[in-house]
Amino acid sequence: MKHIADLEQTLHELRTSFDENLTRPLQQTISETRKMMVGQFGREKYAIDLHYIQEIIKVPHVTRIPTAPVIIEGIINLSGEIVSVSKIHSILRVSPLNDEDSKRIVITKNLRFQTGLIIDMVHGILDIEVDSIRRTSQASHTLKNDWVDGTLFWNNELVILLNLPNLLESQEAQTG
Amino acid sequence: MAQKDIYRFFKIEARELLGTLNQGLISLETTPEDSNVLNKVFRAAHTMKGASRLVQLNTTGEISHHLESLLDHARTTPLSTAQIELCFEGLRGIDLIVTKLEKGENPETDVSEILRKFDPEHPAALEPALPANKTAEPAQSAVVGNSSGLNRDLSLKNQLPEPVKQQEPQPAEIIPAPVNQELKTPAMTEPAVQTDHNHSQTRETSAEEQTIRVDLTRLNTIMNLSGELIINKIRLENKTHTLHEIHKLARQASPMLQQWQNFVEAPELQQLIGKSGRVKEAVSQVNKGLNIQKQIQDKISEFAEVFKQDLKLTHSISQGLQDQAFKARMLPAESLFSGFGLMVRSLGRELGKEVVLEVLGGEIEVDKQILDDMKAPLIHIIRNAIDHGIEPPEERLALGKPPAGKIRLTLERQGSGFSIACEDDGRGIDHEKIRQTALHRKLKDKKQLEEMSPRDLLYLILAPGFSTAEILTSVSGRGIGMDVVASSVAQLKGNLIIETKIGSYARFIIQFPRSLMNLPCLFLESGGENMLVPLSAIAKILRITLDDIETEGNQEVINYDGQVIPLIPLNHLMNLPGRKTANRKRPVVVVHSRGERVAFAIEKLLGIKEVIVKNLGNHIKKIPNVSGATILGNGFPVLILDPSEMIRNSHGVSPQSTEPTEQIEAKVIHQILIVDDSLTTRMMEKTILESAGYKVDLAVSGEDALEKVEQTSYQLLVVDVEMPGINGFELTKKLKASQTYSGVPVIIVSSLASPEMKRKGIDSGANAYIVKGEFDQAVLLDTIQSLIT
Repeated sequence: MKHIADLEQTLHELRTSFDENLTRPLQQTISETRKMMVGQFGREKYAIDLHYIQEIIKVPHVTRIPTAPVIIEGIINLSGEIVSVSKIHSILRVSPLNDEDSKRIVITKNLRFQTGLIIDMVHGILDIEVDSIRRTSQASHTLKNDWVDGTLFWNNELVILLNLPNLLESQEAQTG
Repeated sequence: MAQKDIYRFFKIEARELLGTLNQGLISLETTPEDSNVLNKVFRAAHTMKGASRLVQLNTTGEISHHLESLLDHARTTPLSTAQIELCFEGLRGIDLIVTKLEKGENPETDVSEILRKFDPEHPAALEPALPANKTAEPAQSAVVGNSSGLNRDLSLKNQLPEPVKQQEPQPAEIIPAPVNQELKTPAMTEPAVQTDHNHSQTRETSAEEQTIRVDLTRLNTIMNLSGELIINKIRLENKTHTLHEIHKLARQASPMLQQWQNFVEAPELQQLIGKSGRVKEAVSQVNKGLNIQKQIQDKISEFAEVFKQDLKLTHSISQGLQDQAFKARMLPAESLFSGFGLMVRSLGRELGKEVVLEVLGGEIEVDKQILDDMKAPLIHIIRNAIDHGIEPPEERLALGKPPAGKIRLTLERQGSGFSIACEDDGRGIDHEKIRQTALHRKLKDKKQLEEMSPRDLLYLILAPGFSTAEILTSVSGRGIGMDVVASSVAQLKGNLIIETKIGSYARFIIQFPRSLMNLPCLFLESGGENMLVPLSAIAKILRITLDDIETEGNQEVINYDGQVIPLIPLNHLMNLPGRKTANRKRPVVVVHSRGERVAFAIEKLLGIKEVIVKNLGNHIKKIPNVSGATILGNGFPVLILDPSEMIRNSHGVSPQSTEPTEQIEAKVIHQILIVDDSLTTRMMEKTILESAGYKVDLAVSGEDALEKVEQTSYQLLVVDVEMPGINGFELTKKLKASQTYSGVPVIIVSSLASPEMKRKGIDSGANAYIVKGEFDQAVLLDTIQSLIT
């Protein structure tokens, strides 16, 4: 059993470094900018690389699936295709805001699967200088380290840059 | 005809495989060690071999067989340039044959020259000697045997009158196993005439069915878009409503306009108007405005009319578009079945058995995707039938059966779906053998096996790990097992049914919705959510009262069709809260799958819908009891349930918590006393309440009632007002004053509707006052229910 765990650990590390290399090709170059969406899950501010965002839509009618895993909120009709809607608040350990009007759904792309993330508020799309992204230690946030690519300051507030692939493919976000 | 059908898909597939092989070999020329490319090329050669053998094209089959061996060898020792050249040579040979097929020519080609070059001991040599040695020997003779078969086939065609040949759907079946000696002559003498004839005929047919291959996702996009178009059309239709309202408003102004005109045109007013220039001006302005208003009104009517027409047209166009998009995926099943005839014959021969394949229903059009996906499972089932089912001729004769076994493939429409049945008249499936194998494979222990019903035992052959080489011969043990058959059927939302009788038959029935995409469903509501259940899985829709529900062990059951079947509230299976319904007659849907039936209690039937099945996106892997979803006309997604899973999972639903509100409450039977001096009213109320599951006693007067409440403790009373002796109000007051009945609800039912009477009733302490005039059973039942719980 221990060997299997070791193997899993090694494989996981391998994949993580692979993903990192895939997603951060620009970090080596200087004063490169990346486009990010900045928004809020709960009261916290997060940034997501636009590379992983297909579109951001208002919350349409969501058909609930009661037998689905908790993070699946339901399904929506995205121009004729059915797309799942995920609520990642619980894995980010934040509680959703009450304001339904400001909620949006972030439709992902370039991931192993497509889903719509319910986000409490979208502040905007920003050009972020790669240099201004600070690699962070575990201390600055309570999330698993590989879910976070770093932090940055925006309007004097701390914004956590999420690593969407790691986050959504993590054990915590499994959909059974 | 049949020949053409056989090669139809082979031509397409072979073309693709040739492309893969060609590309792969080119890249192997530079990087001979690339194992990825090597594997890809190897697989392509292997597939080519399989496909060739299926259509009994042994020429291409042999070449690809040699290619395959060579490429297999190359995994350890990289290919030399000469060997790669040899592979290309092989490809050219296959290409030549495929080209002939594409042109509709006789594919007969002498490939011995090419094959000889593949012989390991004579690499690329031109020795004239026949390779009548080595490993290739049996295969070689097979080529000869087959080419003879083909020739014979052709000569047969020539002999038969044309129309007969065309009506015969599987000429392969009627041809006896070819006798090697007699063949060369006709084939040699007649080919020129024959090919010519064959040629022109095929040309003709190929012209009428020109096809291109379209990526399925593109076809699906067209489907989606046409679906969207229909949704949009519905939105537009809703807009006509607004248009009508505008129109109506405009029309309302019409009489006022007329009045105004009459008014100003009256001579006395004209005189008055004439006196003042300003009034005249004002009147003319108003008239002008009114004139414009009238024009607007006319334009609106005109527009509404045209809009309606256009909508109608849009409707028929979008509907037509969707129908066509559906149909684009449909093919006659024959295109799948026609390849099986040859396979059955050659496999039978290989195993020393005589087998005839009979095909029924090949003309029915089926979704291309289902046909493609069903090919492998059906081949497996047929192989099993020949290998395990059909006995050797001697054994059959000894059993009094005809020496030739029969496999019958039947495609039939079944309600809104269809089914493919494969039946052989062989040994049948022996339960004892299944038991032994299951035991041996450690799938179940002895005790479990003894407890299993014969039917469950039969389905054990679908369990993963059941079909293994040990019990299956090389023929059916190869490729895929029955578990894979079962799962591919399930993936297509089909149902696999096995029926057998030892010594007489084994039957595998695969049931399907007609098209994967267009699925007729029952639209229903449970736990406050809308859901769909495929109609093909619904045996019956019932309406039951609580009286119909019985309890067996821990399980609630109902009697259906002379059988006791479990009753499960669907909302519980779906993890949804229960909802109370006013309706005492609850709708129940009897779902069947694999011969099992379960009744699901629901809240509302909303109708029947033909829906386009969509998957839940690539994020959601598997959700219990859900097979997919669809998008309704209003644009909302709705879940489609999976009947076989519903039945499977319903076994685990614990009966204690099945119906948190209603059913448990129904177990506690409430006793109600009806107090009324009118026989009609008494009996009517009694019937209503009893049908709702209550136990009812009757009292003819207030005095009678007071006596009865002493003996029995009722949970509720329904009381009339006007009665001889103690009237309803007095009775209520007395009851409310008593210790035992102060908390028991009383409903007053009276024909007196005045507010004063109602107040009197409430003053007396009654919990509800129902007027007989507005009396309706739902009101009464609702009131009772709200008071009792």
